[in-house]
Amino acid sequence: MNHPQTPATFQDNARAALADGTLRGALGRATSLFAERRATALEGLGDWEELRERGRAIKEEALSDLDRQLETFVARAEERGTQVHWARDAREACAVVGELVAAAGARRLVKSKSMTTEEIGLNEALETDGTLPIETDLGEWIIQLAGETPSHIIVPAIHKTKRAIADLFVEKLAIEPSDDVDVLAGAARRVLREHFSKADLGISGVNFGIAETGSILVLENEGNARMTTSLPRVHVAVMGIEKVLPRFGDLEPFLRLLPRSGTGQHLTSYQSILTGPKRAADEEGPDELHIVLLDNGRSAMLRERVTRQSLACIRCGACLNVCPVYKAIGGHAYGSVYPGPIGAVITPQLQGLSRAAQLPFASSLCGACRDVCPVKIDIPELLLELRKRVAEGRGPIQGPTPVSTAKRLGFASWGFVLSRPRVYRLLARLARCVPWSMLDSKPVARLVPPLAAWTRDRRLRPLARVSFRDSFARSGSAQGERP
Amino acid sequence: MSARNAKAREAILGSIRANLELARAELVPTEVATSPCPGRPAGLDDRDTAIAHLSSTLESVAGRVTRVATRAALAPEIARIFDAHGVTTIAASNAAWIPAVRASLGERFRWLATDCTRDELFAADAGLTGAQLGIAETGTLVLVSEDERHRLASLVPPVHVAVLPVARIVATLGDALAALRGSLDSGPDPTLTWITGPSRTADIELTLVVGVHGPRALHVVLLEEEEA
Ligand code: SF4
Repeated sequence: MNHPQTPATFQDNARAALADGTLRGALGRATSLFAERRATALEGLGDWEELRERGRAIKEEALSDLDRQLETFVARAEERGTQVHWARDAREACAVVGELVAAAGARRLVKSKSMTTEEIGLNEALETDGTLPIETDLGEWIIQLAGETPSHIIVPAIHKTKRAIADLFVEKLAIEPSDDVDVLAGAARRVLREHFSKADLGISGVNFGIAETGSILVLENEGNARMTTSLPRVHVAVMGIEKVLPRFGDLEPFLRLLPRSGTGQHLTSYQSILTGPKRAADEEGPDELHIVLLDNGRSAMLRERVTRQSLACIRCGACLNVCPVYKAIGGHAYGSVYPGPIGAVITPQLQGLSRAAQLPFASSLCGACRDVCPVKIDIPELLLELRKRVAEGRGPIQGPTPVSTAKRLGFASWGFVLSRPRVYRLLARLARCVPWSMLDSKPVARLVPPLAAWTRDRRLRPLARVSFRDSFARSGSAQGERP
Repeated sequence: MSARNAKAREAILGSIRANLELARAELVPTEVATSPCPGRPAGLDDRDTAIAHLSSTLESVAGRVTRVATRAALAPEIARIFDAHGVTTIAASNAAWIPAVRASLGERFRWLATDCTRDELFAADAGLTGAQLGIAETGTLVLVSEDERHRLASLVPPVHVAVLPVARIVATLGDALAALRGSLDSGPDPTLTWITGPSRTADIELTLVVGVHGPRALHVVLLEEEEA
């Protein structure tokens, strides 16, 4: 695709993705594998429902008291030598990190996977300063090399085949061609270790912050986050304000919920719980630890119950893997860092409804996301609320209404007919006389504008010759009963 | 605090308060249950069950576990593991038991100084460390930075050998968090590293690869002898 994919071009993005057979194959394998693994990981954990309740309750508690939780978190973190920086929006956050890089005189930056830094476009900002961080998560690094963007929360390079990665490595790293995954990963290990051994500043995200102790937790499988937070002399962690939990012990439910939901593991390989920089010269770890606390539209989501729940999200990716829409089109089509069901609700709230008005409609409302969400976010409810706002032309940020007059008229007449049984029956009888087989042919369907949009991807189904009501009434009377 | 930072702080906290105030009417105070966290596995309070569970869980994620009865048996077991991996250069932590192991192994391996350079560390074949806690529920080792310098030795070399006294195994995640939290004034240790198996990724076509960044092999030696 040659135009940039944004939430506003969702429909075009989705159509292009649907036409990409390789992508759909890879997506199908990834999503069903993760969904299966998740199901296996839940076996033997009988209290899953109660566990979800517990996780959600803790999030609710923290969010409904967020100002005080953050004040405690910051006070504790500062007592332990962590430096905390507040950032109202993406631009301010990037500027803060840029200043930290400059102040540290850092030339070589490494970064571990973090959605929050992608949300604020940190790499692009730092690149203009001449200090582009090297992504060190294998998948993220591959797409950075290729100049692309992630397509899945957990497996960012899911859209790339082994062959494409091998070609990329041959071109960029000058390795011998190979389709052995171990060889490819080994090549990445060599190059990235070179970066790690020389890096002077590491950037990471944060999975959970703990108010009562001022700690942050970073969870991963590869070890690149441990490298990023342990080797360079400065560590900068970018954290959304919604990530804070009240108590250290609150990690227990989340450590059971998150890995099972994300990758189907009982626990990811590594958790780093960091509480301040090193305190003595002979200790290991960075000399400085900075936390950048990011708002970027989050505080406004606290206002209403429906939107507030999106702040409970722990970015596990489970809702992506079960979503029929995501499974068909993948992450790029959403045009933002947050794809899938959670992206469809978060992106419009972060970027403004006017810029992402199509996303709340990218769902069949089947509810599979709600069923798997480890913190019981009612995503369908949120989607409906956002659809309502789009239709009413209002949103967290006021924007032009993208609903056409024709559409509104259409739905108004639909409503009129549906609420009048006689009119409905009459029209239905008329519709049964339409020669459907003729209409189903593409040229005819294309002539009728509202049908054209429908028939582009679907076939028209003829109406049954006899309605269910009529046939039911008939069979009922044949047996001597009244329906 | 810089003027910008102070201003941003006030703006964000102000926005949080204003929005929560608007929500106040429907904000029901949430009672977070103080009962034990759901999902805690039962039966792990029994020492032998806990040890068996830790071992099998760790092995299910490609970790290796062996057991020795006494401190004296540590050195030969560690040498055996190193030989199996073709190790010559070792980055060891400053754990109290390591000099004894080293002395009894003589010149068989090359031991890096604890203050070795980064290049030397990156060239080491194996890291040797202790672990301060084991979690039976998840097969996890917990490394506490206050007690030992093992943050890098457990991470950078391709093989990590860790010695865990069985007396330090706790049953569940909750037990581990309770033990690690520390008093509120001092808080937890600066760095807690939790390790469950070797480094892994499935980023290329979902094929599992171990050791993409961290160790390719994790070998835990369980020590039965009580600590002095
Ligand atoms: S909405 Fe729920 S399922 Fe989706 S990523 Fe967030 S926590 Fe996971």
